[in-house]
Amino acid sequence: MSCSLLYAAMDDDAVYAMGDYEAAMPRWCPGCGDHGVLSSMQRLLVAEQLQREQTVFVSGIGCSSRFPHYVKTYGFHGIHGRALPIATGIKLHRPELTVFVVMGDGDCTSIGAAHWLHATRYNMDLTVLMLDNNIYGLTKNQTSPTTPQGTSSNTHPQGALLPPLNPIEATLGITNASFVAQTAEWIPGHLYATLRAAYQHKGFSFVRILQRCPVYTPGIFQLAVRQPDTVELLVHDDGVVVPELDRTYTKQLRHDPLDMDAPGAWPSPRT
Amino acid sequence: VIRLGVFYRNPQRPRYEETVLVPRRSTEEKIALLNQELDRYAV
Repeated sequence: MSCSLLYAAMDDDAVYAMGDYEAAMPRWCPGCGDHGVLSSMQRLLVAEQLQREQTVFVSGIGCSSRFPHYVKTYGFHGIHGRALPIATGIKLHRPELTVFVVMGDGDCTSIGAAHWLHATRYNMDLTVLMLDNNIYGLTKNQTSPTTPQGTSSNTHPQGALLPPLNPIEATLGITNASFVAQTAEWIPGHLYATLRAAYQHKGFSFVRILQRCPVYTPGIFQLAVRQPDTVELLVHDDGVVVPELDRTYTKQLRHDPLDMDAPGAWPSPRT
Repeated sequence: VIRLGVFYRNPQRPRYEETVLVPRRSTEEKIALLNQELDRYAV
């Protein structure tokens, strides 16, 4: 038996622990929501015992797009807005690989918006994380499509002029969307359960992760962080159920994820 | 109010990689299919 075959056999029998998926030390700012997403993702990798050589993380450009550097799997730190074309290319040629895509709000909903639309329609088996801190952080505080109206930034010192784009409503409106979810970095249990549901879905799983940027948008979700009654959890056996959250998050809505028309009937804001 | 959870999930939606998948065929099957096509133009 050659050395390579020997190592392959050992790898097949391996039981991966959290540390086996840790790569470089994250360079994100202290308090950045990206740290929580990385931890939940590494927890998912352990839970599913994903083979490191059979797993790929693809990203574009932005703070969150440093993700592939911090996971000990294959990775592709791509170019701005182009994570999805790279990921679809990988999946088409190597369908046996598990492919995760990590994008920020600017990356996905601005320069990469056309790719987002068509990748959703193609519905390839990709798990897509859109880390939404409502701002361009890496390039130092420019308005993104999800920046709330009136928020001051370097490109709009007197406040963002337009109402923000809603990525959940936009994705729900795209032909052939098959999995659309929203979670938040400050609720780790929900974040992990949502990522796991997205991974287990066969098709294009789009997860918007609400997160705070400690430098440019530190207060953006503070109301939701401090007052759990401003958060409503959608619960269903085919969706996400986290019993440990029941005591804190008492506002819950039973929603069958197959019912696409229901969100349209909810009072605004729907997401 | 911020809503968190799965808004939509439908595993029955067609996937591109399955739609364009070309079934694997043996050499004999390929020759048989080729002959079948050529026979259409045989005089």
